[in-house]
Amino acid sequence: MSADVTLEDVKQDAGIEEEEEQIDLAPVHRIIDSLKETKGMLIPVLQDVQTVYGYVPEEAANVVADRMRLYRSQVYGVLTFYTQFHLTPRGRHIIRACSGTACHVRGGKTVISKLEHMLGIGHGETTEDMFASFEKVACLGACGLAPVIMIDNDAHGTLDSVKTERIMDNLREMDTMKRAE
Amino acid sequence: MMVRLTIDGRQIMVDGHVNVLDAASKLGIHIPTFCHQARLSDLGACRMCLVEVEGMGKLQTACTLAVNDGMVVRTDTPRVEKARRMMLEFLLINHPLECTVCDASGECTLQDLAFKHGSAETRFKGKKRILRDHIISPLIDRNLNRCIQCKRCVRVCEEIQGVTALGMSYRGAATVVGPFMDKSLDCEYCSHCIWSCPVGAITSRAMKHKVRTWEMEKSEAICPYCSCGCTLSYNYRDNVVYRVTHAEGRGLNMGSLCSKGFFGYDVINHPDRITAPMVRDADGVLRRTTWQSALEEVARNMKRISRESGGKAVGGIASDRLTNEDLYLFQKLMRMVFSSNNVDTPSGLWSRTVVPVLEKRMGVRAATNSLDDLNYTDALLIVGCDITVANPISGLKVKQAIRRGGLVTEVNPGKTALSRLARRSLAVPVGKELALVKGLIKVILEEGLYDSETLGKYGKFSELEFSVRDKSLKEIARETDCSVDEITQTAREFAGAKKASIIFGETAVLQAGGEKVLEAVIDLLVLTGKLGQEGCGLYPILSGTNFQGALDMGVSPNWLPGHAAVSSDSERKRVEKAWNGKVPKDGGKSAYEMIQAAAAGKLKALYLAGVNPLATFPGGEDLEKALKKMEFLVVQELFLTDTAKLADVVLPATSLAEKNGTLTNVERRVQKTSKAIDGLGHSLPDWKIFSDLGVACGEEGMNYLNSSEVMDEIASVVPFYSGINHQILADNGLQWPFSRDDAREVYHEGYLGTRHLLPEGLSKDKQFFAAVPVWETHSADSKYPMTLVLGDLLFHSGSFTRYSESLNQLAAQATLLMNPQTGMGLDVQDGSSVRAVSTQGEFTVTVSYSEDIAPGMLFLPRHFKNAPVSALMIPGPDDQARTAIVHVRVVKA
Repeated sequence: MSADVTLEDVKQDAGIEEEEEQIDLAPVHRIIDSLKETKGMLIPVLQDVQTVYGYVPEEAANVVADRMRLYRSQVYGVLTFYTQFHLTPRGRHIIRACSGTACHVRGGKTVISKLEHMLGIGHGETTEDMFASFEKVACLGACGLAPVIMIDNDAHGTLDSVKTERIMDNLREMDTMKRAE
Repeated sequence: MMVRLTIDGRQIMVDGHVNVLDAASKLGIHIPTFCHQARLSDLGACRMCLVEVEGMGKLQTACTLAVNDGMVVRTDTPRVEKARRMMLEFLLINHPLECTVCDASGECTLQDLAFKHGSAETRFKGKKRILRDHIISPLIDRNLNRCIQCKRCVRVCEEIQGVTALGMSYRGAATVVGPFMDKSLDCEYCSHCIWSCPVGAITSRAMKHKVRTWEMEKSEAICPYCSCGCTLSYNYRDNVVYRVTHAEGRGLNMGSLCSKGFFGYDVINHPDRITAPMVRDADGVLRRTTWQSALEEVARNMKRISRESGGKAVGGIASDRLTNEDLYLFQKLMRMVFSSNNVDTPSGLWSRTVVPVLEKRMGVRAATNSLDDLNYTDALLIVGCDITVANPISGLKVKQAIRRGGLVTEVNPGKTALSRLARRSLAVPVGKELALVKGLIKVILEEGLYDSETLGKYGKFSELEFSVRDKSLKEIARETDCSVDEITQTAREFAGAKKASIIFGETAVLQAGGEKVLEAVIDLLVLTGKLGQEGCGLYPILSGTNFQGALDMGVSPNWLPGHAAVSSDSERKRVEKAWNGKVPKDGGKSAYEMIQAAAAGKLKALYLAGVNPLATFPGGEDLEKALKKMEFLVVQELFLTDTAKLADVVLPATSLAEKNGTLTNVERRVQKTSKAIDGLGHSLPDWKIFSDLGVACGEEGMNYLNSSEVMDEIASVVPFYSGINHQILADNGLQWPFSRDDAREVYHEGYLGTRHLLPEGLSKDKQFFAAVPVWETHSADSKYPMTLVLGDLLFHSGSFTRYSESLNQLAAQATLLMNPQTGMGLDVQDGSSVRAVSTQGEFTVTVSYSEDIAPGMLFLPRHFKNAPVSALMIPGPDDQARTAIVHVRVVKA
């Protein structure tokens, strides 16, 4: 007669771990406190939250929902609808490779596979050492430089496999140096 | 405004607010749709209802297109047909054709429409979208591959249930429906999403792969779990109920159900059901026997004890979940055959505590208004009640009122599901509700917000003014943990609203002095003139399914059927004449007094019908001793409960799904419930057992052919039921009083009985204002400083639902809910064990931290085996009815 699944099984199946790292939620409260009126402000609030943490942690999303009198599922809907929001921690560097038409015809595919090979990750993933996150995007608005990628806020154009390797090696070196400081 | 339009060459006049889809359905023209559902907002998402409209180039979605005068619509052109075929082809790109294993097969809109319009062939080459789907809940299954993104589940969750546990996430072709962060469902398990899904994307795990939809027959009945009285549909095959479905648009619930109604059906065919009568043999063992020998055993012993020791040595307690017919025959049996007025329901709360106040103050013995009024209320005050638990579907009506802009103020010791929706939620400590209500009266008097007609009608308020003079609003605010502003605003909103009502619940009435709160609440209603009209009234809500019917049927030591006092000679004579038998003259004992008399050896025989005192009565071990001392104990039950194990004779009764009868809900609505399956094994409906037992005692007046015949007799004895019979109740029932004269008019459209009591206001001989002089009903004693509220959970009501495996998946154990602040003060951790100690007894229980409960308060669900609350509850002559509030001390175990 009974369903043979308990709530515990469900949690396990969904990959919910009971013990999670504690996150300081004070900044979230500060962001919401600074608003006069919360109505219609969900996206700016989530953007600010992401600026603080680098992504939108689940606990932060909970606080945002509760304090703005929204339902959690609604906030989740917004977070997943826009590609600008991220629900998992992201790498120290964000690498965006263009897969648009212009880049594609000028060899963008080799650049992308080189990046994927060097990083060992695919679209939307982050390296285990949190060095970088990689994503393919539709267009970076610099078709004249095709094939083009962006590393954080800098564009790198007219790439091929060799140039890509050099840029990535540089980036790794800079990162290591910066970490050592 | 009415408009005329033409659909498929046929003309129709419709209201200007409807859409083309509804207008067409009025003409009997069926336009296919996935995303449209009655009671939900229209979305136009599925593009299945496309129609051709003259003068509009593109095809239009009928569900979002408002009718216009002179509009010409065609639903049957080749262009429309082509569009439908294409929509289906699109949907079938991803929808897996796994109808062979899908539980929705047979009642799937996509399956039906594909069958009608299209073929399973597709011109699209490519992979189907296949998503890994995990289990989102123990009872609700989601299959994203089958989902057609019609958003019905999301809308129903938000617009009807007000929970919004489901949402749409991601976008475009990647859109999926799911809970927050795609984790487990954290919701009320109302089952609306299962109901609304037009395909097999959301289904019930409880019936997964057990039965095919087309193999089952359906039968409408009334839900057995609370006093709301919802209509549901049992689906059964081979005498097994396999599921409950929502009876779309039917009943006062319009088809809506709660977790108990939808998932709680598995008690019906539970393997532990008693299926044959049992009699204790010479060795002291309960053995199965025939009905004849069991009934003879009961008849012989009950008659003998009644004869030898008098009717006062015999007593009976019947559950207020039984039908009117069951309850009527029960008290007739006890009174006429066993010469005893010792008849009661387990709590007796309604007849002894609430009704006397209602009677004295207003001359009514029930809720004054209809539940439907709640949908349209402008201001609602809820005192001592979590309406979403006590009466989940009435709770939905309150949620609708809030969506319409109704101002709801909750006064409850903890947060409820309404708290985040309501205008305000006042966490007033138990015992201080009275101060809050008096505070509202004070504001209304001081600001002159009272009804001027009231002043003319009922005279001066001097006494009332005097009663609220000795405390300032500031003091009241401090005592009730509210702000002065909250009290003032609530009073202004309530007094200023056109339609304002009060819901009054168990937490308020189940405490010593609870009737004082009720008196003050009535003062507030009289003062503001919120009585006797649509949308203005009082709803005292208890949880027992048929608590109102039990009083109407005379299951009370002091009341005969029809609220006739046992002490009145003329009333007694009237009933005696109808029965052609004798009714004992002296008033009887309440349920608690019977147990007490049993302990003292004065009560020798006890008949328990659907009652399990060991789970619900106070007294712990003393109670067990008293029951064991009984010379003769009969238990009529569905299960071999702890109490049944002590019985001399156990009689197998049927559940509500296995019998015909009527139930009277919280708004006086008498509804017919129909049998879906035959009684399991040898079990019989309760009324039939009472009838057979009466006959076995040699009383031919107890012989009835069916329950309809019993109702005919009830109609002849209970004046306000006099127009009622089973035939007249066929559709949605009707609200008493309903006399024979009313019955003659019943064919007028919309005639449903009496929707509102007190149309003339209070009669002149009533006490208009009680002007309660005190400010609190009780306060904690220093040795037992914590206030423990014993109550129901959304997923369980009474000890009966404990037999539902499905509901046990949602909540199987009692934990003591405590505010973290309280916990830290006591140095008690979340999840640790504590001893809860009252003056009466103690037990050990696990603590669960919850922000929802006010500091200093504790909450414990009753009726769980791991927390035998019976041991804590304090028995006393009047306290039997006051078992929801116990003062305790909590110490680390």
